[in-house]
Amino acid sequence: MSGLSFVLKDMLHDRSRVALSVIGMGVVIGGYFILAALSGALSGVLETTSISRNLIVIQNDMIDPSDAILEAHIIQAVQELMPGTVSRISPTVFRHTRVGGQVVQLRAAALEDWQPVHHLKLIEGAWPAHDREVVIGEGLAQSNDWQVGSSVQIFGSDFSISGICRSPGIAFATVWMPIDTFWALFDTNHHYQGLFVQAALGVDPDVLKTRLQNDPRLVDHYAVYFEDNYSRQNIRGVQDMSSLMRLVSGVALLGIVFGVYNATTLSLAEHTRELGILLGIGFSHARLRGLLWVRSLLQALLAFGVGLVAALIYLHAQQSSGPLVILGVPFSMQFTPWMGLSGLAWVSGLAFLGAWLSTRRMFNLRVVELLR
Amino acid sequence: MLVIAEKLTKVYRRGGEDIAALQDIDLQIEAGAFVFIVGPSGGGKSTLLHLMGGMDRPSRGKLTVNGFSIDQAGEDALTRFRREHIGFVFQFFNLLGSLNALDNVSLPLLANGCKPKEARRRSVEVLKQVGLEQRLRHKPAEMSGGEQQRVAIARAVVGKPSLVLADEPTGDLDAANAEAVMQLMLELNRSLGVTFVIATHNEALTRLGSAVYELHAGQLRGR
Repeated sequence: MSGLSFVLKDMLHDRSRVALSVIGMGVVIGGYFILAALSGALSGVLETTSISRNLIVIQNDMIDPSDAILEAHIIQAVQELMPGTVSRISPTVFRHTRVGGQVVQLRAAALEDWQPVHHLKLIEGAWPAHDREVVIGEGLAQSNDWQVGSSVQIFGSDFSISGICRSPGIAFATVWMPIDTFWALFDTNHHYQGLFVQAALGVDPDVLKTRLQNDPRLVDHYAVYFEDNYSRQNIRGVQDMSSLMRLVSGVALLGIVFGVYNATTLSLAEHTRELGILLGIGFSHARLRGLLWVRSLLQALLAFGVGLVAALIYLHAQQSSGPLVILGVPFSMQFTPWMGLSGLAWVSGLAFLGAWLSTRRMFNLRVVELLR
Repeated sequence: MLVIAEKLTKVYRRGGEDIAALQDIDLQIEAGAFVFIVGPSGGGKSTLLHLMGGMDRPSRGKLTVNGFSIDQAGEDALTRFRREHIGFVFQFFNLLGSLNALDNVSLPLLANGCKPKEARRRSVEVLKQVGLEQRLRHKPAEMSGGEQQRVAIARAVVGKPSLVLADEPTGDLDAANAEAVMQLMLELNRSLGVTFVIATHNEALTRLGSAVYELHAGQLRGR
């Protein structure tokens, strides 16, 4: 009988308690993987590389662009740079509204700007041809199972989805509406809220940004951002949530230490006399500690398997029902091999830590104390 | 002499008071002896066996077993000493419930670094000697008290120790099983030449001993 076989026989003998510990730890490990997948998805969105060199001019210190007002003379100031420095501009309005039971961002701009300025790519259907038609982002379509031809109610009016589009950079769950339709639906005195600016060919957008920032008509009241940077700022909540996920993942890892510590301590408390016997018949402290560590590691690895399978099943079910939408941004939770490997390393390391903590006190006792 | 104790004293501190479990004991046991230690509960029998077995250290005095000074040894040295020189038989058998008879008997050999195959061969041999060749794969819960104690005895002698210490080995057995277990230990004492020191309440069994000592309130006297 080898040491491993001894440990396996002991675990088999104690199978109901081992199963309970494994399931308990498996839940924590599964939770850790789900949080890690979510945190990874959130970070992925935040780390989306800037592929748009569009600039956006918006009122200073506006957290929500739908609260901003773009004054006509600002549009005029930028128009003066056309066509030499600025190739196109697109005054745009934003509004958060409830569509199909969830809060989404509604954007309205001139239809002819959608492709050249906003880089929308139609992946299904057609651009709106009538005043009761809208186009929606693919994230929104997936999360609600909306298709071309589906009917949605916006601000009390029925609209038909004429197409599904893909937008570069941060993919908001957005409803796109032609500006005239927007004016007809909302009474906003034809106020725009943000101005998208595209630099002319050969003009460095950074130079244009500096120039606009220093324009006396904009300075102090308006800010100029790269579109993606602004979007990223706009989803600070996602960043906070990502930090929170990382924190909760850390707590889950501590839960693994606690789980192994608990399982090993309980096992030690129940097997105190047996440990005394083993020491009495000549097993060294180091050998016994090694056997207990192997037992804890095996238990943690079993829990790892349970947690991994549970997390994969959950993530698969989650993916089947479409992406998760948080703050209007669709997320796709992915489990990567790196997550599995790092999780395995964490679980193994923390299992040793938990076992070491729990066996430390026990092995300071004399054999007779263990035999009592 | 296999065991030499001089002024051996063990004091426990309980509830702020010092209680002498053993007091100035002088004892010599020859190699190959079959020795009984009798006396009432709490008289210090188990304490004396634990000290001789290197499971505890004396508070004062000297204790040498097979040339090894227990009173001066460190924890690692005591572990090695137990592994190489001592076999222990307990009242409640103290077998590991997760292991069958064969695996229980193999444990001291595995602790000693013996290869699993060799440990198995030697364990089977000893289990045959104690009459349990039909019970190799049985777990403790599947055996009677007498059989379990036979397994415990086999475990105590399988490593060929110089001294086997048995603490009330028949305390949990009926009279017939107690007699059988004691006869088995005597047979092993004679066939293997192993020294046995047995603590017991059962005065009737002491007739088998080569020497009998009485331990009362920590004081030892020969009979």
